[in-house]
Amino acid sequence: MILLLLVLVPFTGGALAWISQRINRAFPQWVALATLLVDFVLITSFWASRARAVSLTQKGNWIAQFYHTWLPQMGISFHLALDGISLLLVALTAFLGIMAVLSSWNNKRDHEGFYHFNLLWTIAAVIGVFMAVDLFLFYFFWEIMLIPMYFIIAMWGRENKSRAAIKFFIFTQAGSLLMLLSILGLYFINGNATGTYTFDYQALIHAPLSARAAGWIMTGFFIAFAIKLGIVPFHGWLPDAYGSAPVAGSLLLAGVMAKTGAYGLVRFCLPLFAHASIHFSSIALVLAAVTILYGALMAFSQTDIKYFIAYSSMGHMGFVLMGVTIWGTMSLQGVVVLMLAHGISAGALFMLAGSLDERLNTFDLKRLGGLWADAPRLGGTFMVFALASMGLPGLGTFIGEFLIVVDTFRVSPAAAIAAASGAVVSVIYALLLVERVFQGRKTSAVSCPDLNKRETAVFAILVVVIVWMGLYPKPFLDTSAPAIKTLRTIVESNFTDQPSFFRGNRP
Amino acid sequence: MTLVDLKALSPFCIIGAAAVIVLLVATVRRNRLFTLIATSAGILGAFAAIILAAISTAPLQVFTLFHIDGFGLFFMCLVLLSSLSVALLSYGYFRAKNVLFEEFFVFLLLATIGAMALTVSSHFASFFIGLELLSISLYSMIAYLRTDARGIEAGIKYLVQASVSTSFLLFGMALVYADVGVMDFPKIVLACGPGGPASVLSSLGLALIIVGIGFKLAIVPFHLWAPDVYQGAPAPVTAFIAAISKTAMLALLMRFFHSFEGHPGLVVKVILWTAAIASMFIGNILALLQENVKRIIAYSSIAHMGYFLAGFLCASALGIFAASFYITVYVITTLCALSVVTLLSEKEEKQTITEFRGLAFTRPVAALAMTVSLLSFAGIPLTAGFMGKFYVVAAGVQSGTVWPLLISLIIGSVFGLFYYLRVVFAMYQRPLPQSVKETKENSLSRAAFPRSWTVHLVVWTTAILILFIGICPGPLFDLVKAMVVK
Repeated sequence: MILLLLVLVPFTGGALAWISQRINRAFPQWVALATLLVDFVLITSFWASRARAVSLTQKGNWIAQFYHTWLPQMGISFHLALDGISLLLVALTAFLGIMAVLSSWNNKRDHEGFYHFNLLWTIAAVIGVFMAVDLFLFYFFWEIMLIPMYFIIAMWGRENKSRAAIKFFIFTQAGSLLMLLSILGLYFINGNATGTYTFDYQALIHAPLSARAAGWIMTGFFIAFAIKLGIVPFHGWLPDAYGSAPVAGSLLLAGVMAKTGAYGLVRFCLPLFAHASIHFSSIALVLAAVTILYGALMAFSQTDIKYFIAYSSMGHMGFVLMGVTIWGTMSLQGVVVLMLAHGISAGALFMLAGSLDERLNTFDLKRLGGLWADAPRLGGTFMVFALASMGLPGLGTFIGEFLIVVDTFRVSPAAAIAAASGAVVSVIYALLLVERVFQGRKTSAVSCPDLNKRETAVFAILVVVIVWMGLYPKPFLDTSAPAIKTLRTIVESNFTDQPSFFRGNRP
Repeated sequence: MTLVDLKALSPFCIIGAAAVIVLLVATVRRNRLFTLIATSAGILGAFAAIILAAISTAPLQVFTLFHIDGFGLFFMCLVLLSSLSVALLSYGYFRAKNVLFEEFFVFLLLATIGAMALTVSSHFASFFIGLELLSISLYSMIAYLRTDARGIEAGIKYLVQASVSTSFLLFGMALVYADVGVMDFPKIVLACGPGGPASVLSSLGLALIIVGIGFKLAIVPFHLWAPDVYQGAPAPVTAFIAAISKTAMLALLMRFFHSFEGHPGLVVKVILWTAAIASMFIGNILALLQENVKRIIAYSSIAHMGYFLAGFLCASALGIFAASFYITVYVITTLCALSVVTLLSEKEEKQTITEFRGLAFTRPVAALAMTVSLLSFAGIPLTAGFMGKFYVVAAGVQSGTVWPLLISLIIGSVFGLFYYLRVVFAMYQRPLPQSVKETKENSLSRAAFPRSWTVHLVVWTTAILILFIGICPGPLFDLVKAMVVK
């Protein structure tokens, strides 16, 4: 029941926020904040109350489920389920949702109500994606996610917004239609073979697929997820969308929507198509390595802070793809931590960029410089998250990248070396970014006020969380461990005759 | 004629009677509200006759002309309900324009009879008579506003295309008749044998018939009339063409095609495949270039006919189901979109995207309903269009033989999003200063042109239906399955 609430609360909150605009222009943001706080409290209290159960569930079944028939004629059900990984991601989504509302608290914009409606519906759909275990339902939420985000970019973005919005839409829509074909292919093959037509995840895991069919179907899923992650060569939409969206939009795009791609790979791509994915893994590793290097190198040449964060974010998603492809216990744990930490750090960087824009009205690095004297708190916070994004030990991203690279090295040293060199480049660009914005001669005549109390409080929370993840990641690892174990067992059960780790499985 | 036959044909009798009553009363005394009530009562009466009487007789062959079965009755109901919506829309529309409209309702009822005849006809004669009844009534409906140059132009264009398509159709029928010597569908199929017609004469005849049908459906390459007619016709008439005349033709096409059990011969299949793929691409691409919402709807309807054909050409039970479901959804969505256009027509029709700009500020209800219908056209979840497209794709994947159609459907849908979202986006942009002024003037003049509750009724009903089907498609699923799939 709580799962249903988690989805319904933001959906209804969104509608309420839209209506409340009629009463007062200030209401929608309060409604949105309240809604997301409720959602966040729901998920964290659930996490706290089940913390023991989560880490002790040895069988690794779902922690909680919600099942209701929807369209039984087609074997479609409204089936939500939560395991450790989804729990963490839902919590992240609700948390970043709150940040997204707070990030533009004082901005004046048209359609205050419609804006918050879109924000909340995006969040609700993302939460739905993280919990749906009926493939039709998954696709349903996956599609709902796009429209409100399209509106956010197209209506409240900055220059080039309509182009960016349309690019975003066309790329992701093409991907999801491919996924629809794949889902239906899987559905009918399974139905024809077993006689029960169902979209249920648990049933489809054991779908008897021929190698050729599995290859095609897996490719459809992979492309859809890779587009969301922004993996080269499916990244064409990403820099423009991240760059042109309003701050809250970029925050959600990078912070949670990219994660739906990674989640899809972990939840569906590998468990459903174990054999095909293993055959595909060398290509996936190359794509991941290329993405890491490409993101890092492109970040260098940017003169716009938001594009800069966009490309560095792409690099991190390359790490995520690498970790998923390796499919080791460590690398998967790394993936989970990296997803959370990247959500926080990229989100915070976008918010900081937004704060700079509010003050100086520019994202252009050439027009920024020497701001530290005016705004030490802003500079300090920026420094922390820039360091987080380059993977400084003691901050959350480091744990994630470290676990992934270590596990990768065991399997494919070449890929690990590529990833590590990407990380080295990221050190240079992160420091360069801080240096250009905050050090050196002050280029702008306008004075830059420091963070105010609201902003200081918000960023303080973010800093605490990222440091907590870096220093004591155990709660996160413990929560995700049983889920990872289950997923690995599912994949391994398809390879009973072969050793479980990656290299042994290569044909 | 037995009593059972009469029972089965009672819907036709009721509509016919309603047309006569409206016409006779109008000669004595003109009263708008009475006309609307008589028309609606006639349509609802026919609907009730289907539910209460005709359905219990199905399946029934009445002479050789009509085959009354669940499939035909389902589409007849769809035609009747759409026709009721068009009547409600026309009432509001013509009242605001302050023209005499009693005769219009007579044409509306006659066209409805024609469309109803098409849904159940199983003979070339009934097919032809139904089609002509529909077309001839439509000529006058399209050009009903005699002072409107665009309306006249549209009327002439429709007249020309309908005559051309009729000649194709007649010639095709003649060729088939010359070859096999029969005119009712089951006997033609028998004479042709399994796998479609073997002789050149019959193949050519069937191909020409498909061309005639293609003109009416406005599938590429027979689509050239559609945008101009859609744009020029009064909005309710556009709704009639888009929803009713297409539904009736599609029902006939499905009946005709499936009496061959999916094998009407290579020639027909090649024509339909080519037309489907071309419609999806050309309809969607040309829609990208349009600035007029009615033209966008016209081109998008071309593309939607392509999507329909994709489901229909699967030639499986799921394919028939998906195609029927798709038509239903398409009809509701089209009615919703065009009822919003009607709602916005006080003095002049609001048609261009620029005129739609800022609609969310000035007319929130209209903007919301338009958004819902456009998202449904685009096939976004939570709307009926999504379920429609889902079933079509499902049928395609299941049959496994129509991959080129599915790929075109996907590419077409991506293009489609582009122009639907353009309109949606325009509605939520800040209105131009001059249009704010206009709106103020309009709201002053609105006292003279009271907003019609009938139009509002249609807008609300269709919009809510779209969302309802999008969220719980179960009831419609069961209904279509029970009625359409044998």
